[in-house]
Amino acid sequence: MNTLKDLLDDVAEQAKLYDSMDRALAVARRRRRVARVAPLALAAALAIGLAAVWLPLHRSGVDGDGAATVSWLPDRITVPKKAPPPLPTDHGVAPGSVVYQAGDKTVLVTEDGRQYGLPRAWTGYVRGVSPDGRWLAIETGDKVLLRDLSGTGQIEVAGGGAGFAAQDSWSPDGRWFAVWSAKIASNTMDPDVDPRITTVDLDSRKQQTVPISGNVRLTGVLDSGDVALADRVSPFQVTTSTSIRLSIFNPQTRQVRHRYQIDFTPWLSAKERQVRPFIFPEVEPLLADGRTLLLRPVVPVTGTYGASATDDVLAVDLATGTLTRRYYLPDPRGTSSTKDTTVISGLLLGAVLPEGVLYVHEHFGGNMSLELLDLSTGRLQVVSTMSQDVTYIAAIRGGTG
Amino acid sequence: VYLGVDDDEGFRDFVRARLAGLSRVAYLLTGDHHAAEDLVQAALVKVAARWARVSAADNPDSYVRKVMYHEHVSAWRRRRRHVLEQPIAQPPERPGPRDEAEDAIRRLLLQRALAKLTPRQRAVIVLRFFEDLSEADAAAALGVSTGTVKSQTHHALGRLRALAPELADLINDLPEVLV
Repeated sequence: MNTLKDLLDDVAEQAKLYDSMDRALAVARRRRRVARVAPLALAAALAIGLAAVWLPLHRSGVDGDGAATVSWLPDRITVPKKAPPPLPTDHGVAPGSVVYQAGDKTVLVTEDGRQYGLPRAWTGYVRGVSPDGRWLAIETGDKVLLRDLSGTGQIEVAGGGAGFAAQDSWSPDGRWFAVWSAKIASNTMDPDVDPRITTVDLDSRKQQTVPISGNVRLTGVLDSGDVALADRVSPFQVTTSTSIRLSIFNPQTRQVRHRYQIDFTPWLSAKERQVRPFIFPEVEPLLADGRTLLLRPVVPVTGTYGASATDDVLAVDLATGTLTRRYYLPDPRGTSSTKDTTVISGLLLGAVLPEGVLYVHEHFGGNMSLELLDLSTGRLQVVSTMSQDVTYIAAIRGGTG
Repeated sequence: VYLGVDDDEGFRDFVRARLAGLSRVAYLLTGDHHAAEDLVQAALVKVAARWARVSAADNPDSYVRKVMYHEHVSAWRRRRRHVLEQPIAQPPERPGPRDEAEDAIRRLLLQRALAKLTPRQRAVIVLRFFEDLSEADAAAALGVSTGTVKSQTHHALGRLRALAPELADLINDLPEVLV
């Protein structure tokens, strides 16, 4: 034993192999689901800010006058010292706002500010909260369970059985819930079994399942019950594609109503066009009002530690194929004087709300916060902060799985 | 299950190749198997959530290292109330019988001393003397200046020397001590 390094090596030899890769992947996938947004919930915001008006490209303000709020979100989420009461099984609670995880506990925060502990079996399996806060979606192995928070009822949505992958979404008005599912065989999608989409009319409780061919994913549900489908992008691989293909599909008639292909290269800056942009999986195409798409292309920055560039969002009018606005979001690496090139990204998409786009902002070594991008002004403001005990946000009202 | 079960091989390959190293660092940072497992998992969750960007980065290893060390410090902050009642990690057992090998005794002394350092002091020790990083790279991993790394290293080594005078010979041989 000659040096401190030798001695440290000797101590390190006692380490076991902490193989938590599968658990980490499972949690990461569920966290990603928070970032897969109910894409069609933007109608109100767009009526104000985007749909009818061409907005010139300009740098949006950040943290302007006036505090942004989301009425059903608490200003601060604090993990109570004493475990919160369990979700009642004999009566309803107020509409749900957020589901967070603190350690191994999963907690529902309702819009009246109360907190309820969710069953341990649901930890890691909460998929989303409906836009009206009434329904909580939970993955239960081979199906999705919709728990009615206004009472004690529940709906079991046909998933696909064991060995199926699933993805789901709500319509902005909360009436429709849709699940995309595909059979998994040998750790990959079974090519012999078409994926399918199950839609649930939450008014009538009627379910309908239709096969859906092609390598597509569910990106949203319209208030009409039509679903939006886009090219499937791997959550774990980089793509160099600069275009998005999207279709609007009617599950009742099994007809495709519209098809779109959007190449966003022309809307990047000259400097950004010098490198081929990457669309990363958390960059979801967000169909806002049936004609507006939100994109977050990521342009790698060479010569720096990370590949991240900006969290900027492009809004595209599908009807005209034109860019309506670029929302400039803060550089996740900080300002030029304090730039930290080791930061990969600052903002994870949380939910699309009538008030704007809600992001989960993770800070290295610090607390998380929820920040709202006001689509009419371009301002990004903190609307809710969290105590450090909050490990991650499992679901936000309007967000989806 | 969720979309992507067929797409995560890149992440799996990356982690498989580094899991042993990450586990060793996690154990050195925490001194406790359970806490080390939590630390590895917390770091991997963050890496997996941004894997596409991480894998495209110039130096994904550096990013993973940074996540690990930040998780170590922030996890300690989260548990601070608890820490007031309990040590950061389980203190190592008292040194064994007198006939136990000298190396084992010194190892236990080091573990005990490491457990009494602050998380950041412990981190600089692991970064500088286990991972053999330069001051600049250690600073990048911790998100602090090189000056902070220098001072933290100086304080950490001084504290180690005070806590485990039996190891002074190892510490005194380090160039960093000559400050």
